[in-house]
Amino acid sequence: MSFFKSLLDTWNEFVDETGRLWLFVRELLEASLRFINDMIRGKRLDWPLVVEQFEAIGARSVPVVLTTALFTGMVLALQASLTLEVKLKGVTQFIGRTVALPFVRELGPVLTGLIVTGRIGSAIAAEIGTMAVTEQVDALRTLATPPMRYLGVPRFFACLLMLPLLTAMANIVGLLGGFIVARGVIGVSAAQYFGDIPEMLTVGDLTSGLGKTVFFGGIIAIISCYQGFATTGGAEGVGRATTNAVVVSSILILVSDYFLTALFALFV
Amino acid sequence: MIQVQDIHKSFGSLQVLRGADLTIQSGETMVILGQSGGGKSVLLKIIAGLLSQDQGSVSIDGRKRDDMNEEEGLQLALRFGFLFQGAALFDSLTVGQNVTFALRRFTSSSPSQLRDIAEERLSWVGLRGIQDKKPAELSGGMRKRVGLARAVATDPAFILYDEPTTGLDPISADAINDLILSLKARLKVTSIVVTHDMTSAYKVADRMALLFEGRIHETGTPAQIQASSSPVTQQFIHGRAEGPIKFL
Repeated sequence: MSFFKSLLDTWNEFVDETGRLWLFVRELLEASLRFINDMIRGKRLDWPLVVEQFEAIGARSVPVVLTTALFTGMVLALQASLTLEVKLKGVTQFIGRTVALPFVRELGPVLTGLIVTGRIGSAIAAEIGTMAVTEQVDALRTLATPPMRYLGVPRFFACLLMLPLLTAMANIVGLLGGFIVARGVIGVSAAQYFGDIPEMLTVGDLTSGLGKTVFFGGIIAIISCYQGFATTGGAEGVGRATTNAVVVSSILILVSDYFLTALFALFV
Repeated sequence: MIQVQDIHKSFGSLQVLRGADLTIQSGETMVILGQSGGGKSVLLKIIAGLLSQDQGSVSIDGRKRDDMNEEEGLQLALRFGFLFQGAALFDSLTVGQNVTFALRRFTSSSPSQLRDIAEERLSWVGLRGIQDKKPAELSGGMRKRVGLARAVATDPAFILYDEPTTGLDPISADAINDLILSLKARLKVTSIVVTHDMTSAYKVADRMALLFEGRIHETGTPAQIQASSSPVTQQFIHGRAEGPIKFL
């Protein structure tokens, strides 16, 4: 009996949480549309806040994203070199496409999404969560400043725009990393390596890979801001919100990746 | 004038307010007394519009808060100043930026004008020359005073104080009481002070209200409250553990 009660409680909690998240998403989207509307009508906007988030989420993520991309491209090329040369007896002319296809379609977008989740999702949840438990979010309201507009919208826009940019850079650096190893291990020339890539990699692959990251950016911003605003219970609550933001965003990125890939395959 | 009518508020199964009624006249300082965890801060946050009530209404100068649209709600917020228990200063901003936060957003004042305004408001609370410091560099008492400077930056008509003296030493607490009185004299504001500090309550109150079991149990001037025949009021103002008020 207690097992079923506990199951029912868990289900009820899940339904409540989903409902609260949905209301949050609606509020964030409404605030974002209002921001865009104000921008079109030439009203005074919080551009410094948006630019600050572009820098925090975009520029400051560049080193870690590019380092990861470089070594992932390198290891991908190493594995491909060994497979093509040893197991497939010297079919090394396909090394470019072997690195580029999985990287541009999957590894670049997903790895960038996961790294930004760890670096930025946790920071967003911790910052807003700390503000929530120290009443700074309430203080914004008393100063006639809607917290969603002041804290949520700049982070949402920055995540949506910065994820594709970071992924594009990661793709370039990953392919370069692959070339360095392909050149060093099996002596492939630049013309061979880069000449092979356009044979297989289409504009659709690029669009699909970068398109997915817009959704990943949305997931990171929504989940992290939601966890931050919902924080209660002091330092322990902030820690819980931070962990939840990273875990939930990471899982949603991995799960949505499958469905977004299937969706893009229909249209691109 | 602020009118609070039949306010109910629950958090899950916990009923915090069960029909609170209170009227605060223009220009007076009303002190709301009550046990810790008894719903005083919740009532204050409902009056400020930070929490929504389950039932009942709050009217400001005759207009119900619930009837206002978002824009009117934002305009109303600028007529209120709120001093939070922990000051709630923005960590990432300097003291000066905290004080002029609303002015930077809603006026076209130049940076030098904003600095002048911040310096003036800080001088009102006895703090000069700290505009460029960060909140983390200040003591608890200084943070409260900066919070007060921020609360009065927009020349509000109403100031709400949530436990203004909690966590302060007696001298700092008395300095805050003096500030509450001086701001009232300077700005002619209507004030609501939530506290369980009787020394502070007697010093700043024009009238007092005791919140007990989610309702306003009694209101009156400090003299009337002291002379009250209610066992509940007497137990609270004398701080006795024995009596009708149970330890929460």
